[in-house]
Amino acid sequence: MRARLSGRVIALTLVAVIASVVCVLLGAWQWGRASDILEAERAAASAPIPLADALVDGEIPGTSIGRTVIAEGAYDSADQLIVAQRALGDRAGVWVVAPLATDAGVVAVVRGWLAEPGDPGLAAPATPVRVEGVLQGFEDFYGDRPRRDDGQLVAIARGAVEEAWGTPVLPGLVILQSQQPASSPAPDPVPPTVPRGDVPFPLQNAAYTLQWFIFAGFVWVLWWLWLRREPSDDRPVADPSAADRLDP
Amino acid sequence: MKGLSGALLRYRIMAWVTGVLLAIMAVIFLPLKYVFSLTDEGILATIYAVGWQAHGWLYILYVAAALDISFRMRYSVVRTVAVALAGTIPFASFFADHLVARSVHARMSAGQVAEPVAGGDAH
Repeated sequence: MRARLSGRVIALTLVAVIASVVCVLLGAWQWGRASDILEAERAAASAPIPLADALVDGEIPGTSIGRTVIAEGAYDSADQLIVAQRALGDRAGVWVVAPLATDAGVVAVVRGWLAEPGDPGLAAPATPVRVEGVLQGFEDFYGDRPRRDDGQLVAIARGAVEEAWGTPVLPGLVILQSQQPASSPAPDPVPPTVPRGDVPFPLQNAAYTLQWFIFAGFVWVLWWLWLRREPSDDRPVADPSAADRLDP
Repeated sequence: MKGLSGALLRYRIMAWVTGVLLAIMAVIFLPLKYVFSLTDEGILATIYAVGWQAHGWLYILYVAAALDISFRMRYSVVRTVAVALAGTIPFASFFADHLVARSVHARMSAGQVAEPVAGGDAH
């Protein structure tokens, strides 16, 4: 193999370095775009929305499950329900569910955890409140007898709650996270039992990232194929007349 | 010779598949998005996203096929790059396909055994 003119080798190698670096930088840029989009969508998805906006035709679409919602209204302290045997961490206790009358309808709010049903935190504030909580579905999957003889709930089933309160309720539970004005003493807030929904990953930008990296690889394939080729092969080896026709 | 015609066939298939998809995306879907704003949601949004995704991956295959035929034909580096880049410009791959096919056919009809002797180009 005759040695190539080293000037051409150096020049083509430099071009390959620059081209592949540009490809990698463009790939990194696309990865940054993917991260930015993901972050922005997650921020948008985690921002609280009014309860009424989380409902579509009176139902909760899947995209609203796990979202933080804001509801304003007044509790009915007398109608509160106790949910039996709900530990918070390793502390045994109960949950307190209160009806909150909002403009959109009555919604069941899980105010939180108490060690005993008779704890002073049980009393709900009499004045209107603004609550922020995570929206999730009722516990309708626990059999057909969700209420015990002593009146405590085994599961927060929508039918049992409506029966106890004598009114239709909105089709989701609000797991209270914060309340304005805050009441004291109050039940301890409990963590939502549904996982927060995540936003779709920006596949398109991730794919572009990968594709730019592949192009960087192609640059070096081209470089290698050219380098190992006989210098005399740089021009087509077919007969000259055919070669001329290659460059119309 | 068999290897060359196989490489040409692969290149031509990729040039047409990539070219037709790119033409559809450029002529139909870019105006739908940027002039009529019809790809914000629904089925058109899905088709739009899938179309560009598909073009991205098909173009990878196009470049691989273009490098293959270019080196079998011993194109210059500039010409090889030009053939590869033709897959990114609407309708350019049809011209690239035409020119590549013409040069391959010219070599074949010249009776030149295009295939290098085994190892002839590898040292």
